[in-house]
Amino acid sequence: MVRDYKEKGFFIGENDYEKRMEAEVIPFLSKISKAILWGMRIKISTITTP
Amino acid sequence: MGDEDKNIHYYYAINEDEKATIVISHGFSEHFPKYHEMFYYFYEAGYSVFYIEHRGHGYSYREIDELDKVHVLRFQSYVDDLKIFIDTVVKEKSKTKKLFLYSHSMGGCIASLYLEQNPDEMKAAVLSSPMHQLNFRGNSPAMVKLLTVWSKIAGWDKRFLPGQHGFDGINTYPNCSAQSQKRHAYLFEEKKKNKYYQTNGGTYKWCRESLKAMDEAIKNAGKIKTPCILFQAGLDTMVEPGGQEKFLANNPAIKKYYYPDSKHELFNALDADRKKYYEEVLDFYGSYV
Repeated sequence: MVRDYKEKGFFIGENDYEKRMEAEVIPFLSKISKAILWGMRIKISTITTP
Repeated sequence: MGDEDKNIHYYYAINEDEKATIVISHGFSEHFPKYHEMFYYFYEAGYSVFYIEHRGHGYSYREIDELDKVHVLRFQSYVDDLKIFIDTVVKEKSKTKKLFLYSHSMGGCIASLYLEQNPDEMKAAVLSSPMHQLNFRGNSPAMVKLLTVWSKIAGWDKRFLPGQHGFDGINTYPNCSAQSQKRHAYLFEEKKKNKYYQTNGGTYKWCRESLKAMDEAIKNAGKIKTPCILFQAGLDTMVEPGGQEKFLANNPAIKKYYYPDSKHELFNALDADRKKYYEEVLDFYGSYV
């Protein structure tokens, strides 16, 4: 799903920063993979929460 | 990187509906949490996102034992790492193979050199407060040059630069590069919790390498063929606008966006400027999707 960044409320304002970080950004971090590029050879690759 | 046992950490999220792929090149002494919010916005807006943790930062390979020092033997190593990362990881995983570069501060100097050396790889690039000239807080360039020459003779390569120090756990807001107090608080707490995120000050060797790299970036700006925009902050205390202006003069195709009331970290500016900034970044990328 792609959201329209022009929509009102897409960006997080200062006033609701903590609330939306907790509700949106922190849960989103579980979608991020963390991996290692090992020297010139790829890769020890694992999926973890950063 | 370039050596067998030197590893570079990276983070990525593949968007199933990928419009294009954005690679983030972070700034001096920064840690990944500083980009959590940006990562989220880029992903939600339809991009796959990659973040390289430059050597000497976070969990990536370090060329010095102390975790709080930013030290590099060759600035070009940052550029080489970025190239290897893009060639071997990003290109492989990107669904669309449309690559955009986003860079901030020192990451902007790395990105400038990368774009100069690899003119056909990126479809679009953003240089945000790029480090093309350091702010030496009132010290003359001649004095700085003299000091860096002396540091080489004296063997001070791994010493902190004057005024630089390790992480002391003291919250520096509002004397920092962020204007959003809540964002700064989040980043500060993340830094306090993790010793790998406490990289804090540069060494003489880093400075000498950076001075050469910035000159190189300015001199060769005309080699950049990638559509590119540069964001400049009027209240920047980390980098001087003069270097960015010389860079722009050498490549008139690069458009400047100026934020007179914002500090170095435009992504941590006050609400109105921060929203405008992100919209301009995403509008720019959107025009090359």
